[in-house]
Amino acid sequence: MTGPSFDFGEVLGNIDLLLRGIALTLFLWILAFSFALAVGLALALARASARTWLSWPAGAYVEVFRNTPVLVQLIWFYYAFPVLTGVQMSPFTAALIGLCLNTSAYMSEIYRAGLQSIARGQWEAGRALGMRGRQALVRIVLPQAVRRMIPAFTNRGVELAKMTSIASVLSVHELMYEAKLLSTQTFLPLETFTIVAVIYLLLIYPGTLAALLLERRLSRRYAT
Amino acid sequence: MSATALLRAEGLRKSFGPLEVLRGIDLEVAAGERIAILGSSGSGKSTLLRCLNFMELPSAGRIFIDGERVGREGGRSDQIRYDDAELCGLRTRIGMIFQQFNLFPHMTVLGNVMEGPRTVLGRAKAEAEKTARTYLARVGLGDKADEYPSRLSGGQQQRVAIARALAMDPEILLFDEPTSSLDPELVGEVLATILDLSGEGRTMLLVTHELGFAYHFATRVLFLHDGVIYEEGTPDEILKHPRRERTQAFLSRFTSFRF
Repeated sequence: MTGPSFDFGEVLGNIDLLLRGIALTLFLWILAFSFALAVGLALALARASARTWLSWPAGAYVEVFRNTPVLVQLIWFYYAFPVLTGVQMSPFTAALIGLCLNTSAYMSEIYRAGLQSIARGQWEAGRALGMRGRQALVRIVLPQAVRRMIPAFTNRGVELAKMTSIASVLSVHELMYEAKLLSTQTFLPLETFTIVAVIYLLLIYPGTLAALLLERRLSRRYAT
Repeated sequence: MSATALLRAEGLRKSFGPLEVLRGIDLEVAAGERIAILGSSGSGKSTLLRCLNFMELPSAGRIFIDGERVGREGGRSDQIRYDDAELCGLRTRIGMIFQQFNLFPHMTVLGNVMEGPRTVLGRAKAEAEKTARTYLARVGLGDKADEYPSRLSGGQQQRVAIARALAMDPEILLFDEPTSSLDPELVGEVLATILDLSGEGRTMLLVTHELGFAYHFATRVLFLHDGVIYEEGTPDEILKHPRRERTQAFLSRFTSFRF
């Protein structure tokens, strides 16, 4: 028996299939990440609120989504949610909601830690000028906190990019789904999944790099 | 009790949990007065200052600004309810300088001084910048406008903080131990800046441990002990001829190393 022979040519010949998958993967990633950034902030603020009717549900939400597998969450939104509500979502919507809700739970913890890391004196200095709480948050505290949160956001972003592959179990035609399809059509799993791994690397690594550069640029401007 | 008091506190109390820090402060401040507040640590002097601009909400008692009562009587208890919008409005008229400066590290010096007028008062950028540059020049830092705070010495940072407070053109300035976290050689420049302002007729309250400065700065000195005003009078009366025991004991600790 000879060693494995490679036939990348045939996989690359079907690259348009993979490209379609890449487009959907990127779309899912960017959409879920943007939503999660916003929802995460809202959750963090709710959780820090003195009103228990806000802080308690927000805390419960975070714990539920952090302590159950994301695979279960996606499947739940696609198969269980319709039973409960009678509303059937498309696979893409179910995957988007699942990924977004999962990631926002982690994001809210990043916000919470970031906001807490800003000295009380910064709030006080803003408030002493007559700022409303929201103004002090937006003008003084968040800009400083976000700088500190960039590495953690990057981690979450990378994690989310990888999690989009789970959407393939709901038959969302993203990169992983197309790859599985291609692999069964061509009987070339080795070549197909190697190429797919390289594609994920090429998709995700620039994001990590950009975040690193952003972090460096911001920290050059002032030291704290 | 005069009707013209700019600031009046009646029966002011503040507790943190079981700890009662202010135990009934009655204070009346006329426009243009410069008041130095002395006392050993834990006497409540910083808490008193922080209650006057509502950085701490008083547990009991009333505060009047310009004769107007701040807050509303609550429904059931004698707890007073404060409206955030009202407090924010008041704080634009009462500037505060902190022990730790609390400059905004993500903004330039100029940005720090422009921030209040821009965000809170809604001033146009050009106008806010002009005001900011005027006040920076006033505290002797006109050439530092484009630096970030981390590049400045502690004394310079505190002077920027003073300019930031002044940019709001407040009627009252509160100084909460403005030189306590400075290296000794930097204290002088900050005190000189504060003394320089005292010619303007602005009402100022200053918590400090710099007795010599208090003597030259203040028109009136309060000595706090155990959450009440224990003794008050002119700088001469309190600092040179204190009548009560605690005041005398406090002052004697500062003069034990005279040479």
